[in-house]
Parts: sequence; C-alpha cells; structure tokens
Amino acid sequence: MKLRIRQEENGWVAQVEGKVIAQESVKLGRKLEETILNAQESSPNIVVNVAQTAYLDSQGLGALVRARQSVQARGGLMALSEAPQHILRLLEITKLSQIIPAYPNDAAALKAMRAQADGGASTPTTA
Amino acid sequence: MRFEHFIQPLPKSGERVQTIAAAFPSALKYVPALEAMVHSLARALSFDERGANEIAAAAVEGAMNALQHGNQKDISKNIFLAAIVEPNRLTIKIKDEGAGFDVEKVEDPREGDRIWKDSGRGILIMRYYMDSVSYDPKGVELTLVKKRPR
Repeated sequence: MKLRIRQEENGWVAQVEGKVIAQESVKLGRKLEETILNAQESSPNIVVNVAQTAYLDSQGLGALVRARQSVQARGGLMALSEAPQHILRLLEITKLSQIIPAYPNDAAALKAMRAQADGGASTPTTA
Repeated sequence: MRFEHFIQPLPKSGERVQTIAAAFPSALKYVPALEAMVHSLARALSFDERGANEIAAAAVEGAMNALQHGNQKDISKNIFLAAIVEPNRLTIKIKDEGAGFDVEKVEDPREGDRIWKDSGRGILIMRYYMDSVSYDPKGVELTLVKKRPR
C-alpha cells in the first residue's frame, strides 16, 4: 500500500494505493487518526481517495469507520473520492455507504463537505 | 513467492485434482505472503485480475479471522492453508488451532448500531466474493469455493 496525505484549502486528502490488508490496514487507520487528531482546524474534513486502491480488507474498512467516528467527534466530515466500482460495491454490500459518502473526485468531496458544514447538501456517488 | 511454480502442469478438464498446502504462523506480517500465494494461484488458473483479487481478499478475511479469533494471535499456533484445484473450481481451506466458533451466532454487521463497529465484516465480505463459504461444525476450518473461468 502507498499512502500520501496532503492538505488542501478545504481539508485533507489521503490517497491510498494498492492492496490494503492486514498490517497495511492498521497503518491506514493509524495515519488517518494522526491526521485527524493533529489537524489545526476546528472541524477538519478528510477525503480518502481510493482511485488506485485494489482492495480493502475488513480491517481497512474498520479503519475508515474509526476515522469517520474520530473526525465526527471533532466536528468534521469524511468521504471517499474516485471510488472504483468494486469499492463502491463493497460499501453497498456492507452498507457503509450509509455512513461514508463517496464523490467523483477530491474537489467535489471537499466542496460537498464544506457545503454540508455550511448547512447545504450535495449528492454522493452511488454504486 | 510465486505459487504457480508448485502447481505445474495446471489441471485442465479431465485431469486429476491437485492440492497445494502451506502453513503460516499467526502474525499479521505473514498475511501478505498468504495473499500473494492465493492471488498468484488464481491468476495461474486463468482468473482475471479482479477475480484473483476477490479470491485473495476472501482468503485474507479467512486468515485474519483464523489469526485473531481462532488462534488469538498466538504466534506459536499456525494457520493452515490448502488449495484444491479441480477442473471446474478452486477450493481454499483455512484452518486454525483455536477453540472454534458457531458461525450461526455471528451477528449481521449491517444491522443497527453494528454498522459503526470497526470489525465483524469478514464473513460478509467472503460471501460476497466467493460462490460458497462454509465452516466445519467445530468452526475451525473454513471452506471457500469459486468456480473456475471457462
């Protein structure tokens, strides 16, 4: 797995590439938690870009759920972006699509989260 | 590690069944090797990349359950993997040295507040990826089956 985290104007983007299994899932969870906890913003938003993610195991999904809870605890939001069909399908099967929205790209995800924080709404991607 | 070296010639219609077996200590660091072996085997059996990923992902879920819930992360205990290659299907068996469990008592991770849990989705994911997922009565041996591509 390759993981790159960068800060954008409206939040953080974590780019996850390759297979996210076993220790890599633990690492993903740890890095997302660190990013959320160390963010200077009062309500940090984070986008997990999974365009190049071959697959996530259940531990990797668990890492996303934990990150979703952590960011919510800080008043922020989390979403996926550029999810390929197999990841969208996995979210549907597990029903995690109910708590982790997915958007076509990073900019759309950040814009939607910003709008939601400001009281608006945007339509996520569906499988 | 490349699995196909152990399985040549690959069985085709009418040929005999082949079984490949391996054992792994119960530690997270060995799971990628197990994944690579299963993925490599699936590709050698003409599954496409997506199909191979799905089979390998199911094997990872089974191995993680065996490691964490079965063997309780006791590195002195092994996870046994067997791949049974038949002309029309691939069967993966994963066995642990734990006390076993009742698969019927596993709760649906999609229901109610369980959606917020960070674990418990392994069996659901295996069922999504494979044609058949079953445990022996003791709950120590998992059997995963996928039809081979024609």
